[in-house]
Amino acid sequence: MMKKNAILSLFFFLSIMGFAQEEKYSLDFGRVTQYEMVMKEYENDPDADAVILYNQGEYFYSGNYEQGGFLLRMKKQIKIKILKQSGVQYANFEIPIFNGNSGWESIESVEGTTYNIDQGFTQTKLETRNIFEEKVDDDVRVKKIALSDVRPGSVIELSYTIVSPYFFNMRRWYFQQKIPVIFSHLKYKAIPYYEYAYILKGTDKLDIFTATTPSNEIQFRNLRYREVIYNFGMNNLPAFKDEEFISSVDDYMININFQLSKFHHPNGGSRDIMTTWPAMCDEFLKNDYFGKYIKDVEKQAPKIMSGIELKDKSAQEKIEIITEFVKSKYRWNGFSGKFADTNLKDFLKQQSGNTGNINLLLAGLLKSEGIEAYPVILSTRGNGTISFSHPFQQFFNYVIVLTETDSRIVLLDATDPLLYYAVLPEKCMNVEGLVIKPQSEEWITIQQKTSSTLQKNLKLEINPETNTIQTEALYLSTGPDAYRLRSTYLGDPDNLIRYLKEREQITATDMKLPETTALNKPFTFFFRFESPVDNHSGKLFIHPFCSLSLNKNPFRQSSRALPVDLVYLQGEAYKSTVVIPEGYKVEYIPENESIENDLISFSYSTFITGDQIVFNTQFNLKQFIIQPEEYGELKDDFNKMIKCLSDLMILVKE
Amino acid sequence: MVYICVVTFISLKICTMRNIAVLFVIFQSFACLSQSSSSEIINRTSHFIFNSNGMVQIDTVLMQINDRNADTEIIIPYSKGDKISVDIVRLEDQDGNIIRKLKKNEIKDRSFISSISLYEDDFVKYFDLKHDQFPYRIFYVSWIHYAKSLNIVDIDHARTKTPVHSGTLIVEVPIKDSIRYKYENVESPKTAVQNRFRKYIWKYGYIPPSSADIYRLDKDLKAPSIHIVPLHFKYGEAGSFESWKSFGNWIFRLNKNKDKLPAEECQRIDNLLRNTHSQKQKVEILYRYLQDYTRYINVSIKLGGLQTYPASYVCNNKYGDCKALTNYLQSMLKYAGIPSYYTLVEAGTKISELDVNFPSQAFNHVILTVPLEEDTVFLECTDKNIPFGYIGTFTQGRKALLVDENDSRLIPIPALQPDDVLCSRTIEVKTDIQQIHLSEVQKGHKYEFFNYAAKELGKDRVDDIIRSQIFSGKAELIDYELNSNNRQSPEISLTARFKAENIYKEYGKNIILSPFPMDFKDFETPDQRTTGVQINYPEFYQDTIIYEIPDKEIIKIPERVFVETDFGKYEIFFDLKNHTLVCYKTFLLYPGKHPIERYEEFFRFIQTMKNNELKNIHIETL
Repeated sequence: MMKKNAILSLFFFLSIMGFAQEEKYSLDFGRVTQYEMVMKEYENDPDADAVILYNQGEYFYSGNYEQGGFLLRMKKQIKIKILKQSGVQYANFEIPIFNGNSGWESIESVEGTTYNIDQGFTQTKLETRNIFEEKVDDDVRVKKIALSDVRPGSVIELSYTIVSPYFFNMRRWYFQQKIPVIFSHLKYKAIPYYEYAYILKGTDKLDIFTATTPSNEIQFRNLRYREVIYNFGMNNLPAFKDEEFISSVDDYMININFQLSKFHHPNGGSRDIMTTWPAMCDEFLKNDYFGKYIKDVEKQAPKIMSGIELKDKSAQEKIEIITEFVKSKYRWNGFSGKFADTNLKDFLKQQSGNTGNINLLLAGLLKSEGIEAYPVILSTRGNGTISFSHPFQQFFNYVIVLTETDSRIVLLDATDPLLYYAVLPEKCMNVEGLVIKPQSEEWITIQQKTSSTLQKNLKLEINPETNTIQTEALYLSTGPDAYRLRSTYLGDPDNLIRYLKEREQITATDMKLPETTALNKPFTFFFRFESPVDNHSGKLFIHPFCSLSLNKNPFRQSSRALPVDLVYLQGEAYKSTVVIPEGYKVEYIPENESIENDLISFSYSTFITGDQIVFNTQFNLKQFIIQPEEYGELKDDFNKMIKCLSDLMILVKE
Repeated sequence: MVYICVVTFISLKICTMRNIAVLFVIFQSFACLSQSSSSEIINRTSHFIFNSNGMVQIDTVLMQINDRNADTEIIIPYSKGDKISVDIVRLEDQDGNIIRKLKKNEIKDRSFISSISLYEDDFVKYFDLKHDQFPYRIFYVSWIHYAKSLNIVDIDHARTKTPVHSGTLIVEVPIKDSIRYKYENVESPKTAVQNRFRKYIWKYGYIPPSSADIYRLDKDLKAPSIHIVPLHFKYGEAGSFESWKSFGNWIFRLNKNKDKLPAEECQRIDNLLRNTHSQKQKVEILYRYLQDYTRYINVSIKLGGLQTYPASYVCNNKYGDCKALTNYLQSMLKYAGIPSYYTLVEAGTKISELDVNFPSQAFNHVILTVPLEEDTVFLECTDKNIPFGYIGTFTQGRKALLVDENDSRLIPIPALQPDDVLCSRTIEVKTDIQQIHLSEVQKGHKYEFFNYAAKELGKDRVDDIIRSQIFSGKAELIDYELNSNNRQSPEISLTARFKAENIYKEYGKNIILSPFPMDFKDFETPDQRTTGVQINYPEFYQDTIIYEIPDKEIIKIPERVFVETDFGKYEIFFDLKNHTLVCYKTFLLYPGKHPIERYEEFFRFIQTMKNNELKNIHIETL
C-alpha cells in the first residue's frame, strides 16, 4: 500500500517539476532534479554524510543611496543533499556579521527551502520568524538558521546576501568543505574603484577562471562605470579530511581569499592598500595603535617602570628584567592581535590586554632603555601562512619583539609567564615574521632552538619477600615538555601527583621539587612509587622502566595525506638502575638495540656493574616536519621502539 | 544521545536560579588545580524581595583573587524582559583601598545560549578586573528585576568550586504570601516582620574540596543548600506548589490546547495506523514516525523553558525540543485515542534524588508515559536512534512527575538491570600472524555513546573514536564494522581486526601475554577522597580472550581470582584447550550509595580488579 503511494507521488512530482531526464544536478536556485531527490549516496564518496550539489556566490557592489558610496553585497546560494542522519547537521547554518565604524553589516533576502519526496513531493519554506540572532559580543553577531523538515533524503537550499560597508571584509570563499562539493562557483563583479588581490590556498589551479567585460554601463548618481566579471570555479572536490598534527586548515582546504589592494578615487587619484612591504612597515609605524603606541610607551617608560632597578645592568640583563616585569605585571586577555586593542592609558589601568598591548609595551620599554628593539609581525600557526607576494597587513595576527645586542638576536613575547623570557609560545613557531623598521623588508624565520626532551631517571629496589619494587624517579624536562609540566604543576605538587596517576597510572609519594626553578633550566621533580613484581615460580619478571617508557604509538592513522607538523624536535630518554636483590642473579636482560635513519635515532643499551644493572635508552626525532610519504616509516619506527622498550628482564634465585 | 534542556530550565527557574547560575558559572571557570583557591568569596549578600509584581534580587559581593590562575571574568545572567543593572564594580586592595572603579562601558553584554540550543533569549552582563598585586579584591553590586518568577531561591553549593567565607541570604516576602522552604548545612534562619513583609535571613559558609571525586556522593560534601518556593505563583498561568498534584495541574494548564494537529497530519496518522489494532503497535508506529521525521532543535524564548510549542509547530518544522516533541507525540496518540502523559524528569547520568516532600520545579527534561494493558512504556522523544521504550542512563532509576490534569503524581522510572548494561568482548589473539580479532557487543552507556556516534557523527568521527579508544597505541586498527540492529534492541556490535606485534613474548620456557584490561575509571586513593560513592546504574563487563599459541605444550597457567563484595564481583580464570589459552573475565558493579566510611573497602575491591586486569599473563611451557 505504502509502496504504491510512493510511486504515485513520485510520478506526480515528476510531472509537475518537468525534469529534463538526462540532467543529474541543477544549478538553478529553486529547482531540484529527479536524480537529486532519489540519490541514496554520492558515487564518488559513498561514506559522505551529505554532498554540496552547488555552492554559488556572487559578490558585487551597489550604490548606497542613503549615505552615498557603495555597499559590498555578498550573495550566496547553496544546495545540499542530505544522505545520512549524520548529514542533517548541515541544515543548521551560522552566519557571522560584524560591527565597525560604519555600523553593522546586515543579512538580507534570506530564503530557504527543504525538498522531500518520501511523503509525496513537498517543499518547506524557511519562515523569517525561525531566524535568530545571537549576540557574541559588541562587534559580532551570528544569524542562526535551522531549516525545517530535514532528514536523510532531503535536499536543502539556502540563499542570502550579506551587505557590508567594509570592503576589507570580503568573505573568503571555500571551494572545498568537510563534505564533498560537486560544483562551487564564485562570480565577482569588479567595479573600477576597488581593486582586489586574490590568494588561492590548497591548490594552484582553478577549474574555471574567466574575466569578461559586459558592454553595458552602470550609473550611480554621477558615476558611470563598467563592471568586470570574474568567474572562479571548481568541480567535484572531495571532502576535506582534517588530520592530527597540522598547522592551519586554511592552508590546505581549497579556498580563495580576497584582499582590497587599491582604491581608485572616482575623480582621479588612487590609494594603495596593498603596496609594498617597506611601505607597509611605514604604515605600521605611523599607526596610533602600533608605532605611536610604542612612542607613547617610550615617553611614559620612567613612570611605568618606576622602582625597577636597571642601573649598571648590561643590555642583555635589561632585556630579561624588562620582559619579566611586563610578564608579571600585565596579563594577556587571550586575544591575539598585531595592534594594541586599547589605548595605552586604558591598558595601563586595566593591566590586561591583547598581544599587541603587551608586546608593543615591551618594545617601547626596551627602546626607552636604549636597546635596539623592533616589533615583528607574524601569522600564527593556526592562522595560515603568509603569501610573500601579497603585502597585506590583514594576514598578520600577532606581534612579538626582536632585540639585537652585540649582534645577538633575541625574540621576545611577554604574554606567558610560564615561559622563559627568550622563549616564544608554540603558536609562533616555524613561521615567517616581518621585522617592522622604516622603509624595510626584513623577514625572520622563527624557530625554537632547543628541542623538547623528557628524561626519566629511575632506581629500582626489588623486594622478593613482598613482591614489590620501590622506585625512586627523577624527571627532567626541557623546552616545550618543561613548559607543559610547569603548566601542570602551577605551584602545587598534588597537581603532578594527579598527572602521574592519570597518565602513568602510578601513585607517587614524596614528591619533591627544587625550591625555585629558573625558567631556562630544566624542570625537574623527584618522587617515589611502589609497584608489584611478577614473581612466577621464583622467577622475577621486571620491566626495567616500570612501564614509564613510551608504550603507545602516537601515530595511528592508516594513511596520511598532509605533512605531520610536530612544531619542534623532540625526544625522550630513560635511564634505569636496577639493584639485584641478594641471592638473585640475572637470567635474561634485553639485548642492545638501535635504529638510525633520517627520521629517528634510537638506542637501547644495558650493562651490569656489580650488583646493579643499568639500562640506558633514548630516542630523538630528527625532523619536525614529516612528509606524508614518510608517515608509514615513522609509524613503523615507533612500533619497533615500543616493542623494544616493552621487553622485560628476568632475575632468578642463585 | 538524549538531549536535555538543562539551561532551558535554568532560564525557567529564572529569578531563583539566577543566583546559583551566577555562582555555578563563575566557579566552573575557576577550575584551577591549586589547593589553596585562586579566588574566594569573602562576602556575599543576596537579597530577594518577592511580591506580586515579580521579584528583585540585589547581590553585594566581595571576592578575593589570590593568584594569576584565577579566572576573573564575572558574569550575571538574565533573560529578555528582566531589568538588570550592575551598579558598582571596583577593584580594591586587601585593606579595602579602592584601586580603580569600572566604568559603565566596561560592563558588556552577550547572549547566553547553551550548547544544546539553537537560540535562547538569555543574556549575561560580564566584566573582568585584573591587577598585578595579589591578593586583590573585586567588589560589585548587581540588581535584577525579574519579569517573571517561579521559584524564589535555589542555592546549592554542591556544584561550586570557590570557597564562600560569609554568605548571607535575605528573603523578603509579603506576609499575605505563603512560602515553603528547606535548607541543609545552613544555620536556621532569623525571621522578622516589617512593613507587611516577613524577612528571613540565612547565614552560611562553605569551603569546597580542591577536586571533584569520581562518582561522588553529594551528601558527604555537606554543602549548604537553600530552596524557597512561593506556595502560589503566576508564571504564564497562576499555579501552586502546594502539592505535586497542584504543580502538575499548573504544567497541564500551561501546556493546554497545544495539541491540535493539522488535517493532513491526522490523515497521515490514519494511514499509518490503518490495519493496526494493537494499542502497543499503534504507539510504536507513531513513535517510529516521530523518530523518522523530526529532529532536536531547541529554541527557547519567553516561557519556552516550561511551556511547549504547539503540536502544529513540530508538524510544520519537523523539529522541536524535548517539550515540543513530547507534546507532539502525545497529541498524535490522543488523536489515535490512546491516552499518554507528559512526564517531567531530572535527566542526567547522575541521579539527584527528588525530595518528594518538597514540590518544586526540580526537572530539566520531559518524556512521555504511555500506560498500556500489558505494561507501561516510557518514551524518550528526542532520540532518533533508540528502540521503542528504551530508557537509558539519562532517565533510568529515578522518580518523575507524571502530569495528569487532576491526578498528577510522582512515579518511578524503572532502573537499568545488569543484563541491560552487559558489554561483552571476545578477543581472539592470533600470535602467529600478530593479529587481534575483536567482537564486542555493547549495551548501556557504551551502547548509547557508540549508537549516537555511529548515527549522528559520521564515519570520520567514528573512525577516529575507534582508533583512539580501542587498544589505542597498542594495536593498529586494520578494519572494523559497527552494527546497530536498527532500533530493534538496545545494543550495538563491533567487529574489528587489529595488527599487534607486542602481545606475545617468549623467555625460554616462559611466555608472557599482554592483557586486555576492561575499561573502567580510576578512583582516588582513600587518603585523597572526601566523599562516599554513588553508582547510578550497574556496570557489567564480560570478556573471553582466546590466545592461540601453536606448537607449544603449555604446562602452567595462572590461577583463578574471584572476589565478591557488597559493591560487586570480579572473576578471572583461565582454561587450556589444545594450543589455546582462554581467559574468562567478569566484572559486575552494583548500583548503590556507599558512605565515605566504606570507601576504603570499595577502593580495595576496584583496585583488586584493576591490578588483575593490568597484570601480564604468565604461562610456562614444556
